[in-house]
Amino acid sequence: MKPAKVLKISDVLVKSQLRSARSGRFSASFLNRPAAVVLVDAIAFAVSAVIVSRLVALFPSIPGFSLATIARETLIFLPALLPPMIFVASLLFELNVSSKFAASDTLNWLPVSQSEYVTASALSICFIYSILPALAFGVTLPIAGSQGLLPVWVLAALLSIVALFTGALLVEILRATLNRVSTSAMGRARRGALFVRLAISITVIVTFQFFFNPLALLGLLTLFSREAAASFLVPFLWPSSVVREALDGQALWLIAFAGLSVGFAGFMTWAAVRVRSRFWSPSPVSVTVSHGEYTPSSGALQGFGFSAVESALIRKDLKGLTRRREMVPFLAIPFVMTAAFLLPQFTGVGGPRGPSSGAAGFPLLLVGGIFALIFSSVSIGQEGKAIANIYTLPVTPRQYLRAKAALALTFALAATAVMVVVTSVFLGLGEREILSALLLAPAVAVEETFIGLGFASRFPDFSERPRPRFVKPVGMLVAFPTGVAIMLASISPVIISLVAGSIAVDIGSIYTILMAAALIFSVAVSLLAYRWARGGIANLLRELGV
Amino acid sequence: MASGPSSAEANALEATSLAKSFGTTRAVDRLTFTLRRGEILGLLGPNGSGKSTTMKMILGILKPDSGSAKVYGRDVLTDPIGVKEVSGYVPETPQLYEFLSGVEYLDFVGDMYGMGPAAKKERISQFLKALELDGHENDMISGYSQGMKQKVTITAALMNKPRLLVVDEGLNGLDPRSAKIVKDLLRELAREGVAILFSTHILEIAEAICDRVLIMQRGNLLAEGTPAELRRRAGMPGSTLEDVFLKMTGTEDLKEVVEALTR
Repeated sequence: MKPAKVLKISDVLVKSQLRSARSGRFSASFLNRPAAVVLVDAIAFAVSAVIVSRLVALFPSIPGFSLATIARETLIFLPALLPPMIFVASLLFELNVSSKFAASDTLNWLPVSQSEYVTASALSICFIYSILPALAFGVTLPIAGSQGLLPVWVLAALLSIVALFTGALLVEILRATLNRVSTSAMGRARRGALFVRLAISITVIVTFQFFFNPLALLGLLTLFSREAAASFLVPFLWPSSVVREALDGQALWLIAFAGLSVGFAGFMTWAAVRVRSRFWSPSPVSVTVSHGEYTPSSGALQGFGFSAVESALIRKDLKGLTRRREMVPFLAIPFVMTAAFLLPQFTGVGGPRGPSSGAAGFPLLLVGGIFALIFSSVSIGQEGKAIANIYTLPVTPRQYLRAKAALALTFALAATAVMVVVTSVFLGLGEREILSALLLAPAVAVEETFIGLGFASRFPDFSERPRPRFVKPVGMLVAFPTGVAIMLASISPVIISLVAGSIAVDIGSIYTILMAAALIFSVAVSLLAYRWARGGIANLLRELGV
Repeated sequence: MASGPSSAEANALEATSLAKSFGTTRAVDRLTFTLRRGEILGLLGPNGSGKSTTMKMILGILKPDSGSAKVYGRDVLTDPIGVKEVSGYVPETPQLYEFLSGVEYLDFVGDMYGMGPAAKKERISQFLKALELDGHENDMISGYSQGMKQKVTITAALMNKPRLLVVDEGLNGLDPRSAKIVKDLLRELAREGVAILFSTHILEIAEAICDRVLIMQRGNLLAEGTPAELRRRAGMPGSTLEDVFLKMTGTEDLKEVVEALTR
């Protein structure tokens, strides 16, 4: 393996990520260069360090907290936190790379060994998500410094980088394995195989997310801090064990765990190279989706008031959802969010234990809204290069908007209905909260759908390589906080009610007024967002971007 | 160009002073031409000469910076949907929904044109057989070869019996037998009155099937006429259209280029 070649490949992979959403002439803009990532990391590190150092200065005046304990736990936690973070981010954003390009990638016919490619790819993943360690290092530095633990912080930071690389290698292994499952393993498959693949993929994502959830990991760490022997069983915790032994002054154990950590990183590299060597070039898949003679599509959806064009667009997108591997992470969102919300309820980590009042359960009701926001945000970019069809066929912006909104709303409202039932049954919502949920949750789903479509039409990303993103990063960065802020405003009566309840204030008399105001607000936002989305789509369909 | 009321009836397409720039690059510079019903008009030019941009402006896919295009009297700027309803387009590269099967994609296209079930079925069956796609129609497009994708694209462009067919390098990826079928099909469609705007880099094909050709270079119209007229104008009677094209576009002396590449 030639390090210079590895770095060069890694550099190209990072650039392809940075520039994939941009079209037309190459721009020499600073934002097109990997150095921009370094600058953002440096800013994130500095800002988080300054904020936390201010908090640390205030800390001694807060009774009941021990900064020494917090410093110890954060330093131990640091190397264990990053791999799951990068892994979850990769599940959502890296594993949707279409395998159809895998065999024709330039790197396949250049003299690049599998080990060079795997190492470079893992390095590029670490670099792309380097804002995560930058923030984590910035947060922990002042805490460690205040306790005179700077040498241990340096050790923890170094181990975090090793752990981060190990997490990226796990992503490489999963990517190659999913390629295998999705393509050559299917052979000449039938439609049923597509559904099996969909179910397996969602299960894999939800399972990994569940087990790599920081809350679950925190629970595990709490457990292993009491039972040190358990740490032997989880290789991803070995770097944390090094830090713990350093803090405890156990030199022998420190060396042992450090050796194990480096050895595990080596093993993961070997495994990732092996898996890629075997599965690097997927065979073309031939999937037969129906049998027998062609029967023209029915006009069933036209019974719900949709035109033939709208019905065809909805049917097309629905098929894309169930057949495209890159759409799987988005379908998994409601399951992932539900798991993330329910985890504290049943593990007692990071929140109240067991069934509780709506205070703990109400976030679940937002699953439909968040799903609507994300799902509709990606609904236009997911057309990919085939968006050209929409420009060449006689489709009006109104038809396009109605079709996109209908599908997103159907899924969001279904998710909302399931969440209302789950919350009511498992988390013991009160009568008033159930009524609020029934009124507000669908309203939120509607408003978030149109907000998402507004952003989808203004920030679509139709690129398919190096991986489809569907919406430009800046679009998602603005869409998500905007959507969530509006969502919180829409459910403000419930928030006010819960806050008032926690301080034993009864707002029963004004609750109805607050609810009415929230509903009016939500309807107004929906109408405005609809107009905004319609304008965006009309503008988008005016001319195909070059 | 004649553009009176009588010629407007005969003309399927009237492009007047079409212009389009991308940044500082002038892709098409005040291009004016007409295409008559039942005529096959070849659009020739080196890479980057503005052929695809011209075609996209005519179909309302790109908005001209200035000028206008009318398809059967419908202005592409004010009635883009109307233009698309009477047109078919075969792009340079197939852009298909690869998660659909070939037949599902064609069914989708038929719905976009508002075709009824019987019309869709008849049209799809006819083309699947003619272009030898039957047997693969229920497979997902992602598993198709380049040539099969191109056949689906051509079928989609013909689904609504277009009165104007715009073909941008439409024979790309086709095997010789399929290419011959498509060439014969284009001639037959022209005989039925369909106007065809056809771009290609293969000048033998242009010579064989086009009634007239336009030669473009750097967004400008370099020459226009039948192949015989262009030969005469270039003072090269008896030579091929390729020789005429290379002379007109100033790229006839390729020896030095080849020598540089083999050095």
